[in-house]
Amino acid sequence: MLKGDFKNISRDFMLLFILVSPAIIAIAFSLIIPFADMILAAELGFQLSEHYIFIMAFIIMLVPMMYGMMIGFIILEERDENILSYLFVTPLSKAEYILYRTGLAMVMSTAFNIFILYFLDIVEVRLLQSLPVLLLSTLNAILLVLIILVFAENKVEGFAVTKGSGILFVAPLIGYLFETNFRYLAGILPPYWISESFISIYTGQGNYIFYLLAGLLVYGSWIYLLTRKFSRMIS
Amino acid sequence: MRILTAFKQDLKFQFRHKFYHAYLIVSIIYIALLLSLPGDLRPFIAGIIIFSDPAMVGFFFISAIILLEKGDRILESLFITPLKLEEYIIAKLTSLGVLSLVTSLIIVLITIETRVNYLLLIIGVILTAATFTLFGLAITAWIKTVNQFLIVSTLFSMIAVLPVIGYLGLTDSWIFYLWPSQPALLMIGGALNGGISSYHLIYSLIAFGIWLYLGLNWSRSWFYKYIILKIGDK
Repeated sequence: MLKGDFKNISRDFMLLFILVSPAIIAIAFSLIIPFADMILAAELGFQLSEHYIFIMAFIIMLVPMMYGMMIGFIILEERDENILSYLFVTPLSKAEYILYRTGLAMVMSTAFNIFILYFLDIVEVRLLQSLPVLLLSTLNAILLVLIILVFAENKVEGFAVTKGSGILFVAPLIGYLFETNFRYLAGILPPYWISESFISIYTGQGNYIFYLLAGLLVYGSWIYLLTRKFSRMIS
Repeated sequence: MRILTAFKQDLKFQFRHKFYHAYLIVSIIYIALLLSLPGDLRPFIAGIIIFSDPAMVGFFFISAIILLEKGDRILESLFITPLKLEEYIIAKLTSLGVLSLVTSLIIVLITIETRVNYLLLIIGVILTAATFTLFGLAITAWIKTVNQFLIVSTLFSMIAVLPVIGYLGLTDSWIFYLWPSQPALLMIGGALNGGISSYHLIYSLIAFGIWLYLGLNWSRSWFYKYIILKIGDK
């Protein structure tokens, strides 16, 4: 009896943490960015402010990814406790289950991302054009949940896979640093299109609509393939 | 050589559970990031990167390992064998230390063009890895689930990285010398950025000595109290 209560307390604590951590991220960045700008300029003559748009494109991916990681771990835990096999006796498809688990986090991360655009105030906010990019970015949550479920057999591997999924962050970096057409290779990794479309809002370079659609296609393909793999694994 | 067997077992385990795959990817990311920076900026940033990730990887991974071993009842059979708790801990430290050292060296060898004091770097990474793995071990002994560890470790790391403020040259407050991460930053940062003063070196070695001693005792006693005695109660 008491044990169950303890479990609930730690679950509630987890929920609280999920709610509080984006705020911590927001405050941390609001302190770090001007700070880093000052130091880099003074010590090394490096102008961070020239890269604010890219930094912002990066930040809007963080929270969905973080939520995805946490939900992924929670589902791994359920899988370890064999709750999943009971769940799938009910007429609930695996895809619906993942969507049900991740849906609220996606809504929350969109709201948070709108907030952080205004709160950090390092780029002029163009909300109407940013909104589709933010919505695309919430797909990072589902993507990460799926990556964890498909590639990790247990929580130890969950740690390793989460670490490894950092490779997703390289794609925007390659897109940002290299001018050659070779960079489209990075477009295989979905986050590439988030940063490209976000940056094109401001620079007017490239085709904003094309980037969004390409992003939707790449995210969609990844999510589709991983969901199919996950369904096969459980049955 | 019981300890050698345990060490080999741990390395195999870590490889099987994709630790090395993950860190290969992580290293590629850091290398890409560092290569994108101008050459004179690299050693400075590399110091922060290596201190905060490859050197500290053991802190995060040890908890996953222990929790899995707890769940699989591996620990119960382990303490029936003649392997001592100290030997078990040392095997864990050295195996994770290998992962830290390999990734740190790969990153530095590929990205840093300026002079590097490799001896200082290697000693710094090994001592940092051992110290923080011991902290991870102690915290994990006391905790029940991976999710709890994620929360506690996030708070712990936020506090642990604070001496970076000093590394950035924003303050020379003595307060950070009380942190276990200060000697790590001094040694790793010094190895990459033109050396370390003899005062700092002596301080770092003494500080690491104290933290290792505390970490070893702390993790041993908590491990005993929260894990071994619990197994006995069943």
